[in-house]
Amino acid sequence: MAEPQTFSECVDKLLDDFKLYDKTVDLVSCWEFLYTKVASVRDKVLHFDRFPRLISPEGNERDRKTPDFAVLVSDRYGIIGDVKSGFPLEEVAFQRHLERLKKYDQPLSFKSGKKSEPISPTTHDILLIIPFRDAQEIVVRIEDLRSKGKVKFERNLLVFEWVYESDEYIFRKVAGQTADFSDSCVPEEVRLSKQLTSLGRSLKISPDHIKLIKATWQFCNDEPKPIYTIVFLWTKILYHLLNERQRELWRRKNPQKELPIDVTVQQLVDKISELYPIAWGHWTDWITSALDTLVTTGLAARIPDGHYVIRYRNLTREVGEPGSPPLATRGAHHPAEYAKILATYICKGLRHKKGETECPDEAPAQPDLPFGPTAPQESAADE
Amino acid sequence: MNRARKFVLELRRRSALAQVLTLDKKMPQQLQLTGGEFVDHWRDTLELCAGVCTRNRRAKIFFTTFFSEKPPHALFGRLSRLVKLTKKTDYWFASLVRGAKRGRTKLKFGLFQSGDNAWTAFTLTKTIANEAVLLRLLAALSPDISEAYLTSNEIRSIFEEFEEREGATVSVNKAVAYSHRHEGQISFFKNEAYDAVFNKAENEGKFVDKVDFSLTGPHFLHGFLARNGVAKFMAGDIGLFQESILISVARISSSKHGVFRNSSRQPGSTEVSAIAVQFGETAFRGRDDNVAFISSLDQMARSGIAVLHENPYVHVSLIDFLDGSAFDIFATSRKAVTIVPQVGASPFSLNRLCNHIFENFREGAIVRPEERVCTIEEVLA
Repeated sequence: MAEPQTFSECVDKLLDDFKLYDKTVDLVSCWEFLYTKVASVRDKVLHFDRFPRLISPEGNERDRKTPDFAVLVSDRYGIIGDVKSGFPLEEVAFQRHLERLKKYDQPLSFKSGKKSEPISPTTHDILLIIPFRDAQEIVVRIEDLRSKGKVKFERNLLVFEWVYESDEYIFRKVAGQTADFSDSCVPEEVRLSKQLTSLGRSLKISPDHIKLIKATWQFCNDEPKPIYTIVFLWTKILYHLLNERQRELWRRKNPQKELPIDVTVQQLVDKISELYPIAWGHWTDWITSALDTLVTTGLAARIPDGHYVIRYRNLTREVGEPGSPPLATRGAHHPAEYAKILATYICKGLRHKKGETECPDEAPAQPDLPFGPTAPQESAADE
Repeated sequence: MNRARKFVLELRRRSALAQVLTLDKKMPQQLQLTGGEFVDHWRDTLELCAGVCTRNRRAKIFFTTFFSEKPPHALFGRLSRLVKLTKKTDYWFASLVRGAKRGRTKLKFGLFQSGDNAWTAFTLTKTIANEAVLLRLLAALSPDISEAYLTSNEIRSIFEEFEEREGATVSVNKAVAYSHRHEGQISFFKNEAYDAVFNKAENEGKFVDKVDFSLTGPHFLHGFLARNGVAKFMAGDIGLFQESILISVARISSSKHGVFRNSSRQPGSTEVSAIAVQFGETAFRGRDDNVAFISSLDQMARSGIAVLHENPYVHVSLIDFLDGSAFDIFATSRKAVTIVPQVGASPFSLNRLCNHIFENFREGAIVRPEERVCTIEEVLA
């Protein structure tokens, strides 16, 4: 995808990234629903791992693999799922992406849930979950490469397509694949080869099914873009770092008044671990990236000893917003929506970093910094 | 634009209130209780207050019901310099010292327990100012308390029960209704049967906000009831008012508070507890309804939202800056929304959020949904 050229393109790109991550969270949640909430299935499955860090039985932690989910169905069979928003069609990139999936094509230790020790099942299948759009072409090309011996998987690589139809996410095994599930060793209830291959059926899971799973985890194993992490911090974490005097101030006065929060990456990670059980993600990296992005926006400043001071408040649109048609259309519906406000801040910060001339008609006004303007060398954008 | 809309809405609401007050010129004015009537039991006190109302047609008893996990002495602890509490036999007598010259201007009121964690404050008054003072005082106790919000349907059900039980007729002297989505649309009703008022409001997509009513038949009662749990006794049978209005307000709002309590996610837990607002009819037909719903959330004062998903279903993350409560809000079915309170979310904030949805989007019933067990056939096409 081409780099955004204008301020509006920059904002649109960030919002698209935000929604793309949310979509991945949805898709992973659908598979979690299948394996943890469907009565006849959940009872036959040892463990569904939403934040897998898989290592080979002889490997070390540094060689860990992080697919989007892993299911240990039994001690003899597992499934590794990888959700992709797209798959490149250009020949070299196509093969490179296919090769990347080979990292899962080796014996791997799965979390076993109630059993404390990880289990390396006898075999596992690899699910590649991609949008309906290009799925058939991708399968044809994979089959072609396989037949020519240009790509070889020891385990089964199964391509699934997904589409949103009639208020449901539909998952189908793409037709024309020679590979099938190697799940004959597991009970019939969890044998996808029967339902999805032999009977040619599809999985259909609605947002109503996954809403509680989504509200519970909010993240998936993919690295979120900083804007997604910042929205999470802003709505669910930062308030808990205010002291009682600060909270009382907001109770009596307008919460648009800024309150400084002095925090380190580790303190934020600890707070997240304390409040939400999603510390199994890669939080140190994610939080560092989010805080550095906040510095770029001017909503935080980096101070010595690894500390950041966040200017926490209720974000509103008084900072202004670009007036280009696509953004104006979006803004008309939800004028005080955080993702959009933060996107404008981030793009404004990136412009400053690049030394571009400020354009008051397009960019939000830079708010006054209580601790001085952000030094350019301190800014770290997620480029 | 958003702030301007809020401002206009507030102006119009104040204007509506002013009109009601203007209409109120014929209504009894209010009288401040001198304090002598606060006897040992709250029911006896109310009888004495009702006697004052009989003798002085300008007097009325003002009631407001709220929920608190703490008893009054603990609740008012942080306002101890302003509010002096005295324990009576079955209720609390409170004296508010206010104004620059302390001790010269006082508001005296009673507090009795009207249900599980439900408390009702009352005072005899003839001035709106005193009512406002009491409401402001209680508002200062948030987020430790929640107001007893009622929906139009719940107010209507109170009147229905009233008529059935007493064999009497409830008529509306005056009522005010507001539109849900089209802010600023207000309807006034005068001298109509209560069911006609509620039917008209419903047909116009409005919610009934406040009702001045009379009961005629074997018993006589003149009173007032509003969505925020405020009730007023003007004349008639105070015992009937207690049983039919005050107890009903506490009972109905208590059941909702019971749903709100303990629904917050515990720190470090993977368990979430959802509540559902069921509209009873299709509320989401397409993107326009999604946008209308999100826009209504966007207007909640002192809160911020992030829209994770707008269409084809809605997922919004909302933070209430009054106490830091955070919620994930989903519209994933056509007839309901689901609210998932996150860590530290308070019943006060959940109550506020639900009432905001009722007033700005659509009224509904609050329930705790049962966990659905799904079969494999349900997820296979």
